[in-house]
Amino acid sequence: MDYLRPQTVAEALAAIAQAGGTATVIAGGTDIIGDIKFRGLKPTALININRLEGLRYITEDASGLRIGALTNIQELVGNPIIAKSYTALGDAAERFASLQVRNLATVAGSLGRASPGGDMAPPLMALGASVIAVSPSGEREIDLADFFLGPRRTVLQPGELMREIRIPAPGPRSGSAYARLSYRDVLDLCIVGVASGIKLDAGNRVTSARLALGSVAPRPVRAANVEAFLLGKELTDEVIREAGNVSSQDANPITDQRASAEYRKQMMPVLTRRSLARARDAAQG
Amino acid sequence: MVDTFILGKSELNIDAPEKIAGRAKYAIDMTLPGMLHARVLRSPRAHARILSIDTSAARAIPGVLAVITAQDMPHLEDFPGDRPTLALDRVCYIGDAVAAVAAETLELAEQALAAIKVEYEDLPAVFDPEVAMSETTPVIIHPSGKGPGGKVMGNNQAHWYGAADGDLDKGFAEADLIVENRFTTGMAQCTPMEPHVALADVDIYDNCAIYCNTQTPYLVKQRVAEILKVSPHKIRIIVPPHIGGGFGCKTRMKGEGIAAALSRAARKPVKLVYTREEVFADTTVKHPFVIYIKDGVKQDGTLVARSIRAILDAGAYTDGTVGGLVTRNAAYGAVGVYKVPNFKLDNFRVYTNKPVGGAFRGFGVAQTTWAVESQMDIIAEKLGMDPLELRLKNLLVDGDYNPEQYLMDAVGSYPTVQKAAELIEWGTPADAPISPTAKRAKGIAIGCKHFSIQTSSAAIKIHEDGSFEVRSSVTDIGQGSRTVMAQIVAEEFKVQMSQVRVIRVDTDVTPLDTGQSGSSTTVKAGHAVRLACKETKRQLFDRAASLLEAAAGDLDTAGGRVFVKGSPDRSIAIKDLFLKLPMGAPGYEYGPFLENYSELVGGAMFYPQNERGPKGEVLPKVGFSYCSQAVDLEVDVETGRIKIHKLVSILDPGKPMNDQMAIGQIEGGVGFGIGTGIFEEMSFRDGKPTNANLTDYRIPTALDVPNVDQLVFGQVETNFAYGPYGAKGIGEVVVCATAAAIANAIRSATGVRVLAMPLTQERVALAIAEYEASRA
Amino acid sequence: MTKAEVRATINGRERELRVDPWRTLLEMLRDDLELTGTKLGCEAGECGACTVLLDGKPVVSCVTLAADADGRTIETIEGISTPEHLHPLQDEFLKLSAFQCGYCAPGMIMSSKALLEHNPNPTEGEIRDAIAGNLCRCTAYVGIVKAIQNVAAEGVS
Repeated sequence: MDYLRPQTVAEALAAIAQAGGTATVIAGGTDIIGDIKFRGLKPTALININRLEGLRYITEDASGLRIGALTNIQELVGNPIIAKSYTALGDAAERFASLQVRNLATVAGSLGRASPGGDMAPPLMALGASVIAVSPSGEREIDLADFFLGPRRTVLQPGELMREIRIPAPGPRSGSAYARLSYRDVLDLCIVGVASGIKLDAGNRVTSARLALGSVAPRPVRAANVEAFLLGKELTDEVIREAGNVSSQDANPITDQRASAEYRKQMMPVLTRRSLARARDAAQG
Repeated sequence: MVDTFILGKSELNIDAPEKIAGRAKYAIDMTLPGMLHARVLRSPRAHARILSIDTSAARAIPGVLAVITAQDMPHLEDFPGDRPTLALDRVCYIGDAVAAVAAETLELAEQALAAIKVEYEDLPAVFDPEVAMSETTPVIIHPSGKGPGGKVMGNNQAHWYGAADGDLDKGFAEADLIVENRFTTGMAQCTPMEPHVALADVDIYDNCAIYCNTQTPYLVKQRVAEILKVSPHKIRIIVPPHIGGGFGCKTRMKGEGIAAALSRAARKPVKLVYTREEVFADTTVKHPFVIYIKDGVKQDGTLVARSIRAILDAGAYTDGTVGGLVTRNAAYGAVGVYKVPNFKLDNFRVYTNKPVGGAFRGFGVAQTTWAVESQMDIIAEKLGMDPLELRLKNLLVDGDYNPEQYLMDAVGSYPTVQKAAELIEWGTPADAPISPTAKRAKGIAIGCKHFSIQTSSAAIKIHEDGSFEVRSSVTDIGQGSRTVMAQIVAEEFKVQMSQVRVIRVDTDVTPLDTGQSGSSTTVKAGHAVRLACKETKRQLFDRAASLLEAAAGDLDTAGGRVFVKGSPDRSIAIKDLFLKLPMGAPGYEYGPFLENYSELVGGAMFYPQNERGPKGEVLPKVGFSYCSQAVDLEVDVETGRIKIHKLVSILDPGKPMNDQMAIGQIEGGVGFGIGTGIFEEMSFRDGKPTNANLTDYRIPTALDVPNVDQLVFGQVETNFAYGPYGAKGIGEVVVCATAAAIANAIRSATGVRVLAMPLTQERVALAIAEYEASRA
Repeated sequence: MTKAEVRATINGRERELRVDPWRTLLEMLRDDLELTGTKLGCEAGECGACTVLLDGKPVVSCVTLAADADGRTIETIEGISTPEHLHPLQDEFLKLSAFQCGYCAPGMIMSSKALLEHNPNPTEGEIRDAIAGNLCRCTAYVGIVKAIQNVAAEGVS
């Protein structure tokens, strides 16, 4: 097995291209190491991109938030910008695995893993995030809603790397929240996760709603029915309750080792309500 | 405990300084020069015939020094003989060991595993014990054992235990109310933080030394001797004294036999470290139970009849004697607390194609207690009685014979449950819940578990400087037994703890012991060490008698001196009993010695007698310890999540030998009780474990247990005359009541009675939804 | 096969090693450097027994590439005390007999140390958050939490 540690994105892209698909790219490593050790992954080369220059940052400007692909998840926790304006993402980060894993795992690595229950995707989708991917032929921006294909499958092409995650500025009277259910508060994977990103007008009517569901489908999905239901409505308790019920139409979860389909179905409305209520509180500031 | 020198005090754990410094050596830290690394090939099939195993490609890999299959080590476990160490011609669960390899690196060992070709032919498999024991079972896994009347039992029934008292039909006829329920418990894993490790070194004479973290060194010694087909005297089991937890799954042979066989094949040291997945599925697990209880009670709450039928899911094999013992000992959980004049119990242990049921903290009693203590609340509710009052009305007291004909003694149920009730403010409603979607209430339960009174031996050596060495084969899995043994020696010789050293278990040096199981350690090791001290003192006083011109019987010892009782000025330092004979010219001294023999060692064995019932029935010698628990919790009625506001755990330890360690057991028991009570359950899909990892199998983190001020621990002492210094075994009783106390509180809070343990948030939420739907 | 070069400061000492690229930091510490105080529990980053400080932050060394230690500072349980002088946390854990089997102790102590270094006055909730990735099967974390509280109260870090 070869080992390469490129310094720049250009070097990394060249190294990946040269390996021709038999290399494994590793950043934080928290999942890939297990793949090599226990799940039969046998790459010809390990390309360690963990310390590519200039890919660890969280910056905000008028257009929104930019997160460098190699930013680790603990860096999101307690970040004042995220806590204030991108609350759903902070909610997800602080309950992600454990502190010792959050200090290693990267935001992009978690997205690239495309786990149906991954906690980074729903809040980012609810915040309207996109991924900037680079390849030798240039850059492209991918809406996160179009990013996931299924477990461990994304639209990224071989030889393509994530460089940045972008979240548009939410604007005034916006709020977001991530309600996540697991058995243990940390060190546990999500059974159902619902992220909400909403905008209200002066009359508390919903002018924009993005909801994303985790762990209830083969990939994180937007709750299109709930979104449509909410649009234009005044976000009262009653509407939130009703939105919870509508969420049942947005996914058809399965039974796995973490929960039964029945429990997941029962929890979708509950978490949708909790997520929306908190997002509303945040929007009303 | 009156007038003790050191016993009963909170002496520091003698191993703590090394542990907190990161210097403590565990089996996993041991290495030997030239050591190879082992891996085990395990079955991917739940039940299949092995048609062929081709190891040639694996053997051909350079650096792979041994590949073994059953051909190299045909061995069935001792009793009942259903479990080969490596599969013979059949695999019976996913994870069953088929072959093993030893190679220069772990990577090479993995490569070798991948190169072994096994051809299987699937057989029908069965995963539900009630299906497996029925007429319509799809398959017979092993021949059945003998049941009532010595008759061979029905399908897949491995073990049976029965007990009866009085006249059950008459009892039910007298009853005003009959309550019947079916309870279940899930499969759990002990989950010690240190995986199972065996480092075996077999020399060219077949002398075999194994460094391992077993709870039962002498049993492992016997089993390994059978595997290598050598006399047990060639086998040496060394436990480098710290073990990273056990809780049952490190009893009996686990990886030691395979490591030894590989080492003999390679003639090099071989280290086998189980992966976490192997610890889950391929050591032993907690038997899942299905428990049918039918009770008859009078209107005033008097229990008049109780019949219990329990089905234990054995998994694919029997872990030696443990299978029969769990079947038998689970009964203790049904007989230690309440008077039941008309009683019948039948426990059946049934094979399925799943991981093997074995020893697990609670040893069957945790499961039975869960059912009985839930049932008591159900009865109370039907009678409109307070559940505490119903319990108090039916308690066994000192001098009663229990339904198995044990004469009850040092009964701690009343004082522990009273104290638990007082501290949880039983009778006062719980405060308002914190969450707007939650309901809150209290629950209470009594735990009672037998502790085995087993055989153990110990030896005490007095060194020439007057210090003491303790030799015992009792392992310390963290509970502090090494410290307690040192305390006993310090107590008996009236010396400081620093004068006592407990050596590591090494079966070449440390004497016979039956193993660290069944909460037996305190009693048996306590007795053995105390008896060994007595014998050592006898030798010491004989030696000192002539020098002090006194009869040996008039001597006593303290502070490193032997003195004449009543005349402390007539004394001699122990070290002065050793001769300082010059062995040669200056520079050639070899140290003090004794003229007749090089050591001053006294050994003794503790060997309990069976107990007799009133009609001469022979009963295994056991004692009963008690731990009552009460809980104040809230349940989120939407998600089913439980939040504990207060948990009280009151233990009857007899007379504790080390207060801090007794509290440590209560504390740990609460963590274990909460984990197994609300989180932990191994899950399977077609026999394949789906959560054999520490993310999906959830043991409590620091966020899942109550805060420091929400846990209230206490002890109520009883006088257990048979125990050493009055002590009882307490390591398991502390886990027994938690689940039922929680279930009872959930019922009070929500109206929902969950009959399946663990009380996962999913079970609770689905039950609440069903209940609400039925009321709507 | 390429080896990865690792130059790291481990417990205050400069080290130079060549490791297989897939090798974990835990394996490098335990097997190559014989720093066996750091424990192996799950090899999947799920139990915290292998917690060490990487540039001052707690990480699970079983899912950290050894090669990623290059150019960085690593602190393990062996590095925080001498035979004569224990770290204040160790003193307090000892005093309270906070551990039983002790297997989780090295990782737990490293997590606690990192906590107190960046938050000298943690609440009980913050303490629990900081050690939630360190599983202990023997206790219910009572002595562990109390010991950290006591050290914080004494103002030593």
